[in-house]
Amino acid sequence: MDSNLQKTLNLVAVLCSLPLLLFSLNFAIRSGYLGSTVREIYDTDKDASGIFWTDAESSHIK
Amino acid sequence: MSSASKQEKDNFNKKKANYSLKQAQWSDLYKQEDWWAVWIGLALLGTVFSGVVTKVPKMPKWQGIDLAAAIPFELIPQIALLAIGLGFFFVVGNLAMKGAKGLNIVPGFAVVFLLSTVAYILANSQTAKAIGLGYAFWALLIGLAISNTIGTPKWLLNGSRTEYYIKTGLVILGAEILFNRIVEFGPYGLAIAWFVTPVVIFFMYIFGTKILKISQKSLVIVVATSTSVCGVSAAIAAAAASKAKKAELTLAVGMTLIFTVIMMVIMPLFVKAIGMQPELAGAWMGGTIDATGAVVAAGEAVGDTAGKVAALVKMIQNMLIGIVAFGIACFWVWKVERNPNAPTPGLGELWVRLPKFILGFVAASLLASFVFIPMMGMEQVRDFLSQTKTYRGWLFCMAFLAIGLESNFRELGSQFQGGKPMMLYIVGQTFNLVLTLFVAWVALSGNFFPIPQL
Repeated sequence: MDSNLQKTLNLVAVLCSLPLLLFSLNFAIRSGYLGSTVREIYDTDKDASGIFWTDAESSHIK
Repeated sequence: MSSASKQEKDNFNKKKANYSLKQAQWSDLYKQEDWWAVWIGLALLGTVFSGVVTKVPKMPKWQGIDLAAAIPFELIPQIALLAIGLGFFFVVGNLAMKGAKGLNIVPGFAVVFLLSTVAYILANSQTAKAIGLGYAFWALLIGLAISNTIGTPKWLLNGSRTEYYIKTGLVILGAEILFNRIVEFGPYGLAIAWFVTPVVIFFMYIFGTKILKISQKSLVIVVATSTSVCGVSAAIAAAAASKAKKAELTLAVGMTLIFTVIMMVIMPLFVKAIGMQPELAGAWMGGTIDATGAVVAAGEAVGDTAGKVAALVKMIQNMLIGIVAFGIACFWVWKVERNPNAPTPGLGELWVRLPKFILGFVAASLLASFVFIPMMGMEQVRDFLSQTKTYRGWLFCMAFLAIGLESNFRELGSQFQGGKPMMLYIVGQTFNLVLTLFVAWVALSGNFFPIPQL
C-alpha cells in the first residue's frame, strides 16, 4: 500500500477512535467500573475538568 | 558525550553569551512575541471589561450522542466571529514582528482554531467532564494523531504558535488571580496551601536535580509545580516561565491528568472508609489533588463541608500560581541560565532576560485585584472573569493542539529517561500527601486551634 495512503488511513482510524474512546468511557462510568465517585460526578452533572478556580466556581460553587 | 548533546551544550553556551550582550530596546515592545502576548492579553481583557464584548462564545455541555446539543447551529456564527477576532489580534502581532511574512500564520491559525473546536466538543461531553479529561487532553491527542501519522505540514506549523497562545492565555489568567480572595479564606487555608506548596516545590526540585539527576531542570520545575500547585494551569505557567520544551510540558500534563483521575477516585473512598473529619478530609484533598475541578468534585463526593473546604484550599493554592511563575522566571535568569563565569546579573540584565509576559500576567492580576474590584465591585468583576476565562480556555486549547502538532512520540519517549520523571512525580506527590495531611491535622483537628465554622 502507498505509504501516504497508509498514513492517511492511520489518521482516520485514530480520529474515529476518539468518539469510540468517549463512548467506552461513558459505558465504564455508567456501569460503575470507574468507581462511585466518578459515577456520582456524572449523575449530578458536575465538572471535574476545570483547571482554575474560575472554572470550578462557575460549575460548582453557587 | 554524543555529538548531538555536545551541539546542544554549545548552543546553550552561545545562548548564554548572547544574553549578556543583549540590550533592552524600545522596538522590543512591538518586535518581541512576549510583548505581543501582553498587548493581546490586555486587549482581550479590555474588550470584556469595557463592555464591548458581553459574551465570549463557548462550546456547550452535551451528553450521549446528541450532536445537535454538542454543536448548536446558532453558535456557529458566534464561534466564527470569535475566530476572526482572535485571528485579527494574532495576525497584527505577527505582522509587526515579521513584516509581510507574518501573514503566513493565517491558514494555520484557522485550522488550529477549527481543530481546537473539535477538541472542545469532545471535552464538553459530560463523560469527559466527569472523569476530568479537559480540553488539554483532547487537543494534545488530536495534535499528536496528526503529527504522528500524516505529519504536520509546514503551513499548519506556521499557525501552531504554542508560546504565542500560551503566553497570551497566561496574561488573561492573571486577571483571575484576585488577592482579596486570599483574605476571605482566612489563615487556615493560607497555612495549608501557602506553607506546604513552596516546601513541596523545593523538595521536588532538589530531589529531581540532585537525587534523580534529571538533566533538564525545566522538566523538574514543571513537574514540581504541577504537582504542588494546581496541575495543568500551573504546569503551563511554570513551563512558560522556565522556557521548558513542549515535550516536557506534555509529559507533566500527561502525568497530572492520569494521577488526578486516580486520586479523585481513591481519596474520597479512603477518607470515607476511615471516617476522617470532613474539614480535614477537604483540606487534604484540596491541597493534594492537582486539578481544581477534580478537587471540588472529589470534595463534594465526601460531603458539603469537605467540598467547601477542598474548594477554599485549592483556590488559595491557585493564587500562588502568579508568585510561583514570577519566582521561577527570576530563578531561571539569576541561577539556571546564568553563565557561571559571569558576575551575578543585576536588575538591568534581569529586566532584559525576564520573560515579559510575566509582567502582563502580574499587571492583569494587580489591576483586577486593586483597581477593578474597588471600582466595580466583586460581583461585576466575577461576571467579567466568567467571560475572560472563556478566551483563556480557547487560547490554552489552541496551545495544546499546537504542542501536539509539533511533537512526535520519539521526542516524548526521550523525556521518560528510564521513568525518572514518573519517580519524581510519585515521590513528590507522596511527600505532598504526608505533609499536607500533617499540616491540615495541626490546623483543623481542633487539638491546637479551634475548628473553623463554614
